[in-house]
Amino acid sequence: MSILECRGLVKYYGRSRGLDGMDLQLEKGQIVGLLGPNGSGKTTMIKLANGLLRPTSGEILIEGDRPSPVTKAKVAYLPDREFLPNYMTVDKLLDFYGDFFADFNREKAEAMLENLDISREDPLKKFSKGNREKIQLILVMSRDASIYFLDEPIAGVDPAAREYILKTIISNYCENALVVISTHLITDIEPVLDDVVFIKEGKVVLHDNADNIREAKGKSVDGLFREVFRC
Amino acid sequence: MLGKLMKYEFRSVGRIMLPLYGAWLVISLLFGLVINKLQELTLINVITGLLYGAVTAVALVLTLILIIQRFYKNLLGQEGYLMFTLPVTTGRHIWNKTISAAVWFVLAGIVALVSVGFISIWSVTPSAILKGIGMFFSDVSHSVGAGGTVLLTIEVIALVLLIGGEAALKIYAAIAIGHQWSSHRIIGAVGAYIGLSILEVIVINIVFWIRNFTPPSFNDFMDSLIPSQQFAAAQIMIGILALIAAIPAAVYYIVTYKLLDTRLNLE
Repeated sequence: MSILECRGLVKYYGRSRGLDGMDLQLEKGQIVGLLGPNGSGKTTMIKLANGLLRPTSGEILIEGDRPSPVTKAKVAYLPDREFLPNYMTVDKLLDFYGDFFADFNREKAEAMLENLDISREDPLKKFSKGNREKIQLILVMSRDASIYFLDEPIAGVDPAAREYILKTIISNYCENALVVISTHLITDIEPVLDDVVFIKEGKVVLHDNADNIREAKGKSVDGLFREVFRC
Repeated sequence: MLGKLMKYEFRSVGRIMLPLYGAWLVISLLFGLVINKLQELTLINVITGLLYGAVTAVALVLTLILIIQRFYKNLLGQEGYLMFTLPVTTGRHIWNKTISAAVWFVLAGIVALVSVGFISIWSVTPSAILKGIGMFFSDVSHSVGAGGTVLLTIEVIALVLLIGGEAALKIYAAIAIGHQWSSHRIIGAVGAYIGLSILEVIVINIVFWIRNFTPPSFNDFMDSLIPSQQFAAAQIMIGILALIAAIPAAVYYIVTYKLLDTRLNLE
């Protein structure tokens, strides 16, 4: 059984299309790049997997279950925006994650925060945007989840922060987990990807192993992306 | 999980409301002292009085605003991305907000009453106030018995919480309806609230028209009863009031639940 499965997944927002019959199966133990231009349906798919949206038709399954409190307990999600209450101190946020997620590893989070010299007594709003994004990522990656959905984790941060974020992702996910990273910044993320999924106009147009693409097509994932999505 | 949600909810609202309620009580004590010491109208009297009025208004309005904002911002704003990905059902989220709102409504009412007590505390001794409260309860106890007094007290508290919860759920349903628009969601919510209010009036009128019912004068009705009947009548009255609050509350809960559970679309 695939850890994540989409079957004929369709999502319309009123008349505008989000996803248009997406079929996809992803296995555990890999990092998958969900790649596509803006508006191709990446965020819609991730929101559907997290139960933040309901499909118009078709279904999305996490370890065989539709999104519910049961699947939410094993899915870690980093949205493409700031989503934590900014009046809360880092310590209170650690309490919050520990209270609601049984798989939250507080020691791991504390060690990562200490490495970055982040004071746990300060409220989130006191930190710079870059540090707030790192704190969000640390909270999400400190869960021993089955699936991690990271929506545009490196958009809007400087190259040094990008490196830190990618390093944090690679060194913290469980071996048996699936990591789905959505982005349109492919060059930075390409080295860490096992599998690649191209999404265009709400459909999967390519799903392959990153090494296969490089060997068979003789070009980088970034090169292929530019070819497929040429305007 | 409901307990955990409520813990964070009360902390979040309490960090703003508790200091404000504290200030409210301190200013009421101050106002009481000033009008007790300075019998005639002076500038200090007027200023403290205005201050008391202002803090009362701010505390009451802010309680309402926070109840609205906690639902709108925490569930349907950016924080919704966190809240709706917790392993918690939509129903628990709504219960959490409703219980919290009802408690804050009641707490605001209690602080308002205590602040009035604090104003008079300098001219009337605290023991006299307590004695007055004691006399009220002994009067009630005289006509309905000790057990009846306890029962009535619990019922009245439960009724007030129910009415507070219903008021909150009506706001939540309106916000959830406003959320169906892709833009101008606040205007949509205000419009929905007005629409729900109109609907309530229409339903009440239809029910009274069907039943051909004219509400009797409460005092005339109570005076016509003997004490033992008065207790039973009070029970029926509380029951009817509870029903009048519970029916729309249930409808608003279902509307809010359905819209958040199946038609959630965070910005």
